[in-house]
Amino acid sequence: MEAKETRTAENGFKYAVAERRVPAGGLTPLAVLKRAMTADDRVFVLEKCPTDADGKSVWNRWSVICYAPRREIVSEGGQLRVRTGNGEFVCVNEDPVRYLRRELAENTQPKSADPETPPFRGGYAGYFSYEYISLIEPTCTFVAENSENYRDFHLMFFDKVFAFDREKNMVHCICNVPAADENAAVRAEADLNTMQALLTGPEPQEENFRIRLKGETEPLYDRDAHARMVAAAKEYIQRGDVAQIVLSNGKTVCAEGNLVDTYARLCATDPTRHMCYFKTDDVQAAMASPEPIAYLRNGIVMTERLAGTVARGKTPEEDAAKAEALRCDPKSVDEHNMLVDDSRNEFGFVSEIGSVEVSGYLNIVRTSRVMSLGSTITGKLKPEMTALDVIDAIVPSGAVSGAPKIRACEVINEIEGDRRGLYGSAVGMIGMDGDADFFVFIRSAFMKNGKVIVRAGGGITIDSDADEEYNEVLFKADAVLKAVEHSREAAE
Amino acid sequence: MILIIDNYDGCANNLYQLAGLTDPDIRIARNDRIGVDEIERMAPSHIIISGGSCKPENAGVGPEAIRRFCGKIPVLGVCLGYRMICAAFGGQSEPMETIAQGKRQTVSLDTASPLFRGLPETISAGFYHSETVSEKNIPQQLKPIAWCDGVPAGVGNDALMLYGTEFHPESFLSEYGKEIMANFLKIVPPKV
Repeated sequence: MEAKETRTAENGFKYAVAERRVPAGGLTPLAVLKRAMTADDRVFVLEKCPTDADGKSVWNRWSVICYAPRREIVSEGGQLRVRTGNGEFVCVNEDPVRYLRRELAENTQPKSADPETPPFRGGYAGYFSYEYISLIEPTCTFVAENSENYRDFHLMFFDKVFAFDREKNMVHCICNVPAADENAAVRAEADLNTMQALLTGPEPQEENFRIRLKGETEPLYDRDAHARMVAAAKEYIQRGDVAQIVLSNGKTVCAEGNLVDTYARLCATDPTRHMCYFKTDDVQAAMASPEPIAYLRNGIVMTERLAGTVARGKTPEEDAAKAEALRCDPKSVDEHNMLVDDSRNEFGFVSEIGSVEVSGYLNIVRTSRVMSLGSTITGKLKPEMTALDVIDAIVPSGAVSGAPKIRACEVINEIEGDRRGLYGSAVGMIGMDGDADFFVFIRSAFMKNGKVIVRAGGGITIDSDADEEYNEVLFKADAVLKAVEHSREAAE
Repeated sequence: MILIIDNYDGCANNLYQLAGLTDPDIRIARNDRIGVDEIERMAPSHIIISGGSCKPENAGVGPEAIRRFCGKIPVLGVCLGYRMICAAFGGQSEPMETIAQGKRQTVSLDTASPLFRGLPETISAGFYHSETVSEKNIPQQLKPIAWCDGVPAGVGNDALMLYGTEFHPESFLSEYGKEIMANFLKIVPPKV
């Protein structure tokens, strides 16, 4: 294997980046993930497969595979816990968000001017749970229990990243070493050798990546319970507490093993904008999320809101007619307008005055099966604002909560009677270069406490029919569950 | 300094962006995180009251702030803020038959009002509301200065420097939002 190597170190940055380019040969991003997991199964993978103008899915050039976090930062019930390498989690008595803010500010790497640079070269990856808002908004109170012991957030600090270049079929082995370390060059060399050895070493055992389901899948809330939730939600809407809320339901099944094959199945059957697999000590997730939270690059923050989804037409003519009808449907357009103003508002305080723009309005966004109205909102971040400020301004996404957000979150928590944790969380990465990419945990499966859970939501209005809602939400969950079950069948 | 009273709604930061185009010195305060005495000490040049989904009487400091500062500090209420201004003089709001969430509608303006000076007679504007104040409920102290489908969509009292719009000038659906905000921020108390 021929390898090309570069290393960059600049003053003022804590880390220097070293990189070695290795031909991928017959490896795929998935194969690289599996090999990385043989060294350390705490991983985070992000790949993107957006659709082009015709609705055809096209994989983005880069797949990013992070493994073996150097450090992990979690908050559990507001208690900060930090772990170094494979050590134990240690409690730290400091405000978790303040700690995280400092951690992000201290660990920096230079930006690369090379256009061949992958979008992520080391930094933080993980999730901010759906209930993270209670750490940001002091008035936001959740009364329900947290029976699955969901964490408030979990971020892994990755100094080693494989960036898979699908265009050139190359794997970039990337490591970060402290710039001040006089042995930086030696350390980088050793890390890169280890990474390269993983790519060429023995093939991992396939059965390690499969899921074993035990027993039947069950709805999280049965039909009656769901009907009671819808009725309660309508009462809150009628009372004027909330204008709109998103209630969720889903299915769960006891399981052991791994969701990697489920992730592979999602990539093969339903690739979308944010394909992600991650695994921590207590959670793993296989995601196919169409819904962005925010994308931050070089100080420009961007998001796209989607709403008003309809099935695509069978012929090009019918498809075009349906698109036109969608653009002219007042109900869909009004609903979409609300999301656009919501996103402008979320960007409003973190962005420079006058910089928030609706840069694309009422576009038709097609996927293989459906089309939606989509609008793009952008802003220029104020110099003192960071990726974490953007997260704090947005999480949880309106797509899974409601309006007005704080009250909607409280009402949802009370009605659903338990925490959502992963469902509706913000998953993504914050690079040491300051860029970030986050998306909503929907159309995804996670595994925690020996159970696979697939959850989905539906917006409740005063006219919602409880039975229809129940069917629709579980139908959405079933689509993802199919991928879970398929990866089980393959195992048997 | 401009004070924006945020009624826990999704428009306070949009108001911040709009007002910031004229004067970037702005403080945003949640309606239950600030009192009228603190506002008095802050001595803002203008007060803007955001939308929100509660009843006017439950909107924290807002109603008291309107009573305390009208005639002293120019106040602009948007959506709930507008209905709060009406309610301050006894003007009750009522639930609408069909709610408007994210609706772009045509609004006719009284361009003689300082708030709409220099604007066309009709503009498009964005609405987010499920309650409205009917013409008969507009208190006599307030003059309707905007209408949508024959229903008042804005009020003013020039002497009290009190203005309200049911529509959202800060929405991307609204035309001339920047001009309306600039007009409001031009309003200053008469020199004593």
